[in-house]
Amino acid sequence: MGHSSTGPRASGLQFCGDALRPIACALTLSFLALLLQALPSQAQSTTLQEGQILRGQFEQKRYLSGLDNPVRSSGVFTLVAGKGLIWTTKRPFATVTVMTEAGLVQDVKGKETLRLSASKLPVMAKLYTMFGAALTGNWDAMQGAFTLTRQQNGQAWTIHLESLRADDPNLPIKAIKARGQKLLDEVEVVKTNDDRDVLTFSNQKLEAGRLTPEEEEFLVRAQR
Amino acid sequence: MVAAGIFLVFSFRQANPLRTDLTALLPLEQQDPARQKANDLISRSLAKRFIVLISHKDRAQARARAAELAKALEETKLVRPIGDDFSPDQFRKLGTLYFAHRAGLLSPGDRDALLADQGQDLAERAMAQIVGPGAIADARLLKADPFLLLPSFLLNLPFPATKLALDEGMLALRDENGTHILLSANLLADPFDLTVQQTIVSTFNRYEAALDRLDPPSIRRLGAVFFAEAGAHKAIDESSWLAGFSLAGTILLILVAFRGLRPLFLNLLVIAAGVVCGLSACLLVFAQVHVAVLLFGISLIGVAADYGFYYTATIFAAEDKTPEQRLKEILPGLSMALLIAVLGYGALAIAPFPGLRQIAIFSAVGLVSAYITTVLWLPLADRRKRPAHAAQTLRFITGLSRLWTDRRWRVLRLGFCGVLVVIVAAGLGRISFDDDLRKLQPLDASLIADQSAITAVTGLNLTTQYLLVEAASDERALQLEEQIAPMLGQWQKSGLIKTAQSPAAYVPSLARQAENQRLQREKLIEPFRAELLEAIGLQAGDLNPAPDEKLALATALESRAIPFLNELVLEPGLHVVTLQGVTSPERIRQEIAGMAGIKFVDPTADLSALLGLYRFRALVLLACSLGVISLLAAWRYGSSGAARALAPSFVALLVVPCALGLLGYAFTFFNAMAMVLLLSFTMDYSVFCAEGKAESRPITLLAVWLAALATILSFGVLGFSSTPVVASFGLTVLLGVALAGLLAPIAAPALKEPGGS
Repeated sequence: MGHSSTGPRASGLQFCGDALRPIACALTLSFLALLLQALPSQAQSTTLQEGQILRGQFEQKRYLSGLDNPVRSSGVFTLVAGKGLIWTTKRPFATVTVMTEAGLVQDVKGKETLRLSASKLPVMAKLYTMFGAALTGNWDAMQGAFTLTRQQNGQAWTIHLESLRADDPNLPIKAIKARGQKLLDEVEVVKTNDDRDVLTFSNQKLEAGRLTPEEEEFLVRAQR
Repeated sequence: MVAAGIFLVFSFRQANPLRTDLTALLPLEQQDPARQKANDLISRSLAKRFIVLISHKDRAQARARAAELAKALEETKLVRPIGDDFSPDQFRKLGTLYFAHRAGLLSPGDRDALLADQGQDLAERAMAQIVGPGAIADARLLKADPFLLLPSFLLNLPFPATKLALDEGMLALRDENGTHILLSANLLADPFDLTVQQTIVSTFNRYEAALDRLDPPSIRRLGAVFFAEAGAHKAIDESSWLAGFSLAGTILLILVAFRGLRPLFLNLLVIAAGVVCGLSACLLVFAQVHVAVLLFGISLIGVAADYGFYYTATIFAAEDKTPEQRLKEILPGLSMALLIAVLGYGALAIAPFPGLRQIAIFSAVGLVSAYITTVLWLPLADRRKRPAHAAQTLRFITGLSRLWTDRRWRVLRLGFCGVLVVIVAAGLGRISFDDDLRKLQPLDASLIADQSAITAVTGLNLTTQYLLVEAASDERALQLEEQIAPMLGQWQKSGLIKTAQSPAAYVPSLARQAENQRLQREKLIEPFRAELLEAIGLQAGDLNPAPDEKLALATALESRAIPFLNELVLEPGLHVVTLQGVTSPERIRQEIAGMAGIKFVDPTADLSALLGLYRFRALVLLACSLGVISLLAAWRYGSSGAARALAPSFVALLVVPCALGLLGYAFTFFNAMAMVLLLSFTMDYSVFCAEGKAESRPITLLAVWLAALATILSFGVLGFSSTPVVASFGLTVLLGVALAGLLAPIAAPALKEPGGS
């Protein structure tokens, strides 16, 4: 009785892992794009130091196979070393997404519409760990899944990551291409179903300054 | 006896008539077929599962060891392939199932939003997800489900809280101690089969023994099969030495007393007659017998051995009497003892408990058969002459009995009575009742430690409490579950439960699906779809609208896409809503009181309550038996004679619970049954003494003390068991029989001899 109770819970657990997998995969994609943001290039290491803040603008073109035109969006982002990322989309639609070790929170018009907590979706924590590892220049987290090719041309560099197992349902990414100079300028993530995201970054500033109260509040709320 | 024997052989050949489920002992008027069936089905499926947690500071090591162990377990052919549930195939099945019926599926939050006319919020959420990071959708999904309601439904399915995540095909978790891998296995065979248990456990032990000594992973296990193996192992180990001790002691006792083996065979004959006839009578009346009844019945037949002992003791007076004459002398005592036992146990048959009725029939028929065997066969089989040591033995017995009659032992007698009074006075207030099954049946300590470690690491909450939903059909049951869903949400918020899984959360009722479809159409699609499509650049013609067909529970069950669901639906209209982390079962009982078709089931507590009820009824029946016996004794011996005759039994029954209380034992159902047995044992001693002729007093006392010693050897040794419930049962009999044996001479009419008192 008390002792013999592994049944429905265990199967529920397995099911849980399965059902949430596509969502976790989708999150992986976004995280990987952001990972590259913090890639230390060969020429010049731009690894974020604890307390540093990277701010900039982004433009995203999301190509979905079967759709004629990409879904475009643009906005600003704030990457806070050791704390998380605030991704503020301004067009075509105002929405804020905050990612921290505790998970992902999405706001629309100041109202929380999505919350994926790392405790409910532990893969979030794993991704965040990978993220953190890359931030500190630790490549082990990525080496197992990708082959890495770097090219250097003066200040400019490109990195090409090719998936070792494109059929891995946990990481449905075919390839990642990134280019930049001091910082990352553009990244393209190609999924196994040939959907791709092209992200272009501009006006990036690496600061040691303080967060705005609004940013602070976002990060605190996302940590709950 | 031959006929009874043949009947038994036939009965056991046709089908095993033994029942092992404790619920079969429930009083007839309280048996709830639905509840019993639910408990049966759930415990059967639960019992087949076990989980193993392999932990190592190195991830690769943990995974490799987990894979090796899984392979070793699979090679036993007793376990379903481990990890099959994580195959991509399983997810595909789930996706296919829900995707085709998405039109009627809404997460509780989305449904509330639509009911509150907040369709716009859902449209904006979809837009945010399409453009933002954390993109869930590809074009195929957007065309089929532009508002992304299906991912929301999936994400809000009520899964048990756990910290584990799927990591390359294994359920894993990383913490400061390293990587933990959880293997979840399903047995193909009966976990209560001893060979299955031994194979699984020895596979584990072999694997652990072969591990690298320097850097071994920690392996923790949890499952009924391990607990059952540990229990059986302990019971077999213990019962073999207890049985050996008991048998050796009894043989030694008979050899010392009679200096020959024939009395041993005579006594065995009497006991065999009792068991065979009692069991066949029980099967004839009830068609089946509970194992507990069988064990108790066989124990009670131990009383039958008293008859054998009484007769065999008479050979000490064999020099001037034939076996028939000797039998004639003890016949009134034997007959009176039988009458009292049969009448006393007849009282058990009045109770509406199938268990007690079976015991009553078993005992009555068994005792009558033992009596007939003693009376008809023992004199024929008895060829012994008076043993050479008879005079010496009888002198010793007479000397002992003088302890109760000689004036010089008066102080000792008073002291003894004083001690008994002190025990009763001090112990009466200390008697406590406790029927908690978990305390009665203590589980293996290292497995309990494994269980807590697994719970602590994984966050899995392993309780077996649930709500049982009973309705005329699946549809009706699902609707009932939807009615109580808001209440479950409240419970979760207020901390009364952690999580709950209800079939309706996975497959809404058809009515609910129809309503969801309408809500989607009226509150979301019609007002907001055009705007959304424009924003993402989709044409209405590109859409792949959801089919109208609703998801039937039967379809979902058949697909086995949600294995969880198949365990929640026991049969059409009989569903289970599992509850985890229940903090107050009492409050849940109150909250659902009066709700038709919903019951709270707490198997362990229910069984404990049942045992409590049984304890109470057994004590009431014991009191009734005492009443009947007192009347009989008063009729036969007069009031003062009856008081004397009953004194040993009454004193034993009064002192023993007090002594147990003083020793710190709680009084359980098993003590109550031991008391019932005790009454039977001790009444024999009293009746033999009361009926025995004054001149054969030493023979009577010899028989009584031999019987008492034999009982102590066979039951009293249980007092040394490491299982508390068995130990306290044994101790009850040990103390009671010893006391009643000591006091037995009081039951005899006073002797008029010089120097006596």
